Amino acid sequence: MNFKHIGKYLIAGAIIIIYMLCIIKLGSNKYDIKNVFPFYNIDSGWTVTENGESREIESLFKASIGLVNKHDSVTITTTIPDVSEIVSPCISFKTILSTADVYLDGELIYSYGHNTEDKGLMVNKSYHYVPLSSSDSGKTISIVITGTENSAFSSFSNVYVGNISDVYNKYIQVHKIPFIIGFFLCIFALVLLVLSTYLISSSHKDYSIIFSSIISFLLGAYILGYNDVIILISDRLRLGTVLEYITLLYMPAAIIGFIITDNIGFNTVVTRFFLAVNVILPTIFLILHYTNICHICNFVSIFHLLAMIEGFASLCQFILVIIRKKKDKKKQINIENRSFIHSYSGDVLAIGLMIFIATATYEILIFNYQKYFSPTGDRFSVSVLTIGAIIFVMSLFLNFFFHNIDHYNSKALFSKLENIAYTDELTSLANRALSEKVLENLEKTNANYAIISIDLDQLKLINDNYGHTCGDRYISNFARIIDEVFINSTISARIGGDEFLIALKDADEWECSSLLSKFETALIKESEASDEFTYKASYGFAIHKSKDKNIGSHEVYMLADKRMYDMKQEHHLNYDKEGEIENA
Amino acid sequence: MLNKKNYLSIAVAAFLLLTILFAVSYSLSYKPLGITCYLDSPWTVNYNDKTYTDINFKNINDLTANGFIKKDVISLTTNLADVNVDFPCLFFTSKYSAFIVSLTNLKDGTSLDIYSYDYDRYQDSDFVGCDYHLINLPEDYENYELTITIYVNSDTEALPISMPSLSSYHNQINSYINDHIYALCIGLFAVVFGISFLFISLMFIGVSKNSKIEILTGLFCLDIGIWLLSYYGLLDFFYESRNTTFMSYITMFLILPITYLIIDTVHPTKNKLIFSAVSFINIFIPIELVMLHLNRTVYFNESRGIFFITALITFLILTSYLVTDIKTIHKTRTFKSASNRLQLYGLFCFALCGIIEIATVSLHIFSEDIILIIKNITLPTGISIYIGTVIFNYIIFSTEGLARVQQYNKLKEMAYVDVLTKLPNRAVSDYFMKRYVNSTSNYCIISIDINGLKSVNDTYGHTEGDRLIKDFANCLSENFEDVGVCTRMGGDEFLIYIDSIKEVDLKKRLINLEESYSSLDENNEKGIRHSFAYGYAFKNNLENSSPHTVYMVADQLMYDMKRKQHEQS
Repeated sequence: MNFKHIGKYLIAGAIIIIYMLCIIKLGSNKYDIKNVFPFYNIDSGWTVTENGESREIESLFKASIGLVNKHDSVTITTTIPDVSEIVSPCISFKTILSTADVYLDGELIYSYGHNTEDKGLMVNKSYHYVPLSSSDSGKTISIVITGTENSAFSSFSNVYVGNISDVYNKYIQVHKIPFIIGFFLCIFALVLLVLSTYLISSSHKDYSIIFSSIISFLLGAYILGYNDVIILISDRLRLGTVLEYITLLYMPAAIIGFIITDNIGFNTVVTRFFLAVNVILPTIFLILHYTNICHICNFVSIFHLLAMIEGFASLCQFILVIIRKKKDKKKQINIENRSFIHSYSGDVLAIGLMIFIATATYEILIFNYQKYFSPTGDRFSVSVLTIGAIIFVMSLFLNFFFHNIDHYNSKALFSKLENIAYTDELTSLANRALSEKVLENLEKTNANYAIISIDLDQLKLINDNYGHTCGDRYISNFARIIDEVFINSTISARIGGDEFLIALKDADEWECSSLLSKFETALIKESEASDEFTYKASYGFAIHKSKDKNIGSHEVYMLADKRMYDMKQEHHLNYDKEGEIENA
Repeated sequence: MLNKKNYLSIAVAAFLLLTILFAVSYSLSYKPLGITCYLDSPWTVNYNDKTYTDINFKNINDLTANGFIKKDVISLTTNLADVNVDFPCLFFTSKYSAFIVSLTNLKDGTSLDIYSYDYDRYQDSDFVGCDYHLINLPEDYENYELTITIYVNSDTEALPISMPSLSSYHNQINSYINDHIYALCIGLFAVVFGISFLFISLMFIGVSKNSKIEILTGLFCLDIGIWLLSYYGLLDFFYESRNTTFMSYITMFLILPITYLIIDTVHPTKNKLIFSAVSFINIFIPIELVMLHLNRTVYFNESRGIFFITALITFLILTSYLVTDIKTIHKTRTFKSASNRLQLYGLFCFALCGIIEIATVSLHIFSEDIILIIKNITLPTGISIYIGTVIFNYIIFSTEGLARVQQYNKLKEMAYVDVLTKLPNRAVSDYFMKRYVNSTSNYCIISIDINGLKSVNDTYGHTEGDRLIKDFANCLSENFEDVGVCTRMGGDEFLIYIDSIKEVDLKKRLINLEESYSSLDENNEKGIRHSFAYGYAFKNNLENSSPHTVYMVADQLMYDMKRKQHEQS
């Protein structure tokens, strides 16, 4: 890698960091909606009762209660602060996989989840808004949370007391960024899906865009589900709860699908095996969930384990592919770097994928740490995964963007290269490849055309006696003359060291003869003007008429070549007679 | 570009789109729990110190002949029925007027202001915008009389506030979100897409040829996203701001210059007069209107008409460009023009939706309900079509680009590879000559010429000649590929560039080459003789150590050998 590349990557990296900072800044609570009424986040002054034992705790946030399992109950009790100034006061908290009962001075005022539990369904994640009255200041409030699954939860959410608007806004504010990004990713997925129908039907079959769209949708839906956006703005609580599990479980399959279809060399048996596993297993989990045999929340640990294994295996494979590519590159000649622009699309994808896997791994580790090892509760910070997700999807989009850049650059180079590929470097006439193309075309269209074959005389002699540089000059001058005389030809090409071919569409014998005599005159003139060489050439021509459908261009050329050869024989006899060529 | 297959795919796409939209709206829907009570009557209205009783809310407009004017004070009072919901909440929207909501206790007549909107700005004679309002009521609200005092800040035909409704807080807010979910989704999408696209284009400001359009497109998406969100009052959802209306107007005004810049970049006009006129209109008029607003001379809602006329002019110009483009579509079928045309189509769809929206709101042709539906659908649809075309543009033309990259690789190969022998060609040889100019290593250049190629070509034809060359190239590769680069200069000449090699080793390899090449004589039916002449030179053996000199020496040695071979035969 040379320094130009490193510089570009550094700039790109800087811009990515600024982008991320912008997102974080947008999500910061500096711009949050201010509370209108007094607002309390009650963290201290709680009494926790577990298994009949009560204890006072310093901070609800840091309270360690261990894992709450099915049918385990935890009760937290406190006194309501001063709510006399608040209109429509409420006390609000969040529960996961649990039922909730709220008692005010011993009286049950709110209950949630018992019906669902009785039916055997999974109790949803839910936000509870328990109405209070302004005169409830100082009363004792008890919240009883009973787990409905094993490992339901291990910490408490924040408990807010305040005006209902303020509370609701508070929830929305802390989830601002996931809200915005989650919606963005879902809609982006939709757009990509619609576009993919066009792309697949067109000539270039790139199925990876479908997987890009699926990945984007799964990420978006996961972010919306995990960050409670769906349960905050709609009444589809069940969907909001299950969505985060479903999307999580199918995500590896989508990523693997993308990697396979993107043709970066990953379409191996191992990868396809993983794909199968990642589609079948989640489906089994889903069936188990909807038949209420085993709810989906229990499969999260299995999933995490599987994801880590696959992530590690993919990483190894990925590194192997990169090493192999670098080895191949070393073998190749390195002149490509000098004149052609490095294609960034593969790098972009790799970087995006790496960042995403890093953030996903981080999230998995933090989640498990918080659940099983640490006492602290829901931390409302900007989710690392959210940022990782949007960077990943942007890298997918950039992947396409780069292909576009390649296109624009290649278009400019394409025409230059076309010239190089079809031009003889020494003489700037067409070369053999182009002449074959042109002849093929003439044959296909069964046109009337003439082919003239010209061979320089004495080139070998000049090369041997005076060196290649002179020989080259001889050839160039000849080529110039040919170009000037046959200016209206369909093609004037140099097809060998001293061999030239000229094709003339719709030419007849008269035209050919006339042109060739012009050619002769030009040669004589050139020889007189030159103090180096005498220009002599042998030539022959042949005509093809449309009515001769079965005669191919090659046969025509051979005939012209034979006639040229006949003339050459004549010249040889003459040279032998003369002895040596004149040279001033 | 469009054929039967594409029509099918468009149909599939449309079907997918509708299915998914249906699924999404289902999953995000909200069914209100409990009652929503619309406070339509009876109201007691106190308008400019005249009192009217038992008025239906819908009929309040009829109280004046010419609508309400600035500095009017309208006081609306009603009783509140008990709807038995948790968190009772009042909801209505307001336009360009300040107001204060107060509750009067029916028993003791005490009054309490529970909500005020922009009253301070009204008193300062400042601009008051539009917004929606959610007002929490105390739990014993049925004991109170509700009074809304409106301070009109801008001349208007209709009452500045909409009919209030009473329901639970969750019903109100979630129904509001649900009604505007389409605009919310598209607005958020446009904002994030705009920012991302902007950052991406900044990253490639030097690399891509279309940077200007890309940056403008990013800005445009960001702008219309913010406009959409603030226009529907959805910005307050996320950010504290007393200036959402101001923001919605600024972003709306910005649409004109950005649109104009995009059109001009994509379709530059040669007519100087039109150019100056249009750029004046599109850039100075919005700036002027903003200045007037900030100066408190003419507020946005009053200068809206001028803006709309300007927008209409630009829209007509855009349409005329498109029409002329479609007419000449057969003449100029270049790649770039297809991409540009797509951009213009996208802009056109967006502008058309904008015009429909403006016409619907300003001209009062349709009934309230239809207006509401059109209002909620047109703009977001227009914006999503525009962004769709942007993405379509970049993805479509990039896949064609993929195809071209493949062609280009092929050509690249041709440029550096000799077609017949697959060895590197003269261009590579030139590269090495350049590379060796500053080299400090004791490099070696070997010049090799195949003998008798011309006579083989003349006697047996080019096919045999080609075979001769190919065979030699193979032998050459076998013996030298691991130490150096073998290039074919053309015809029967070959040059080998070796970075470093011991002379002993070199001689051995040359002998091996000779043996393996001449061994081909045995199996040759036509009796063609395989031989070559060579010469080599090391850089350090010469005084003037430029690669060209080294080459000349090697070449000369090769000719010497050739002459000797001639003399022997």
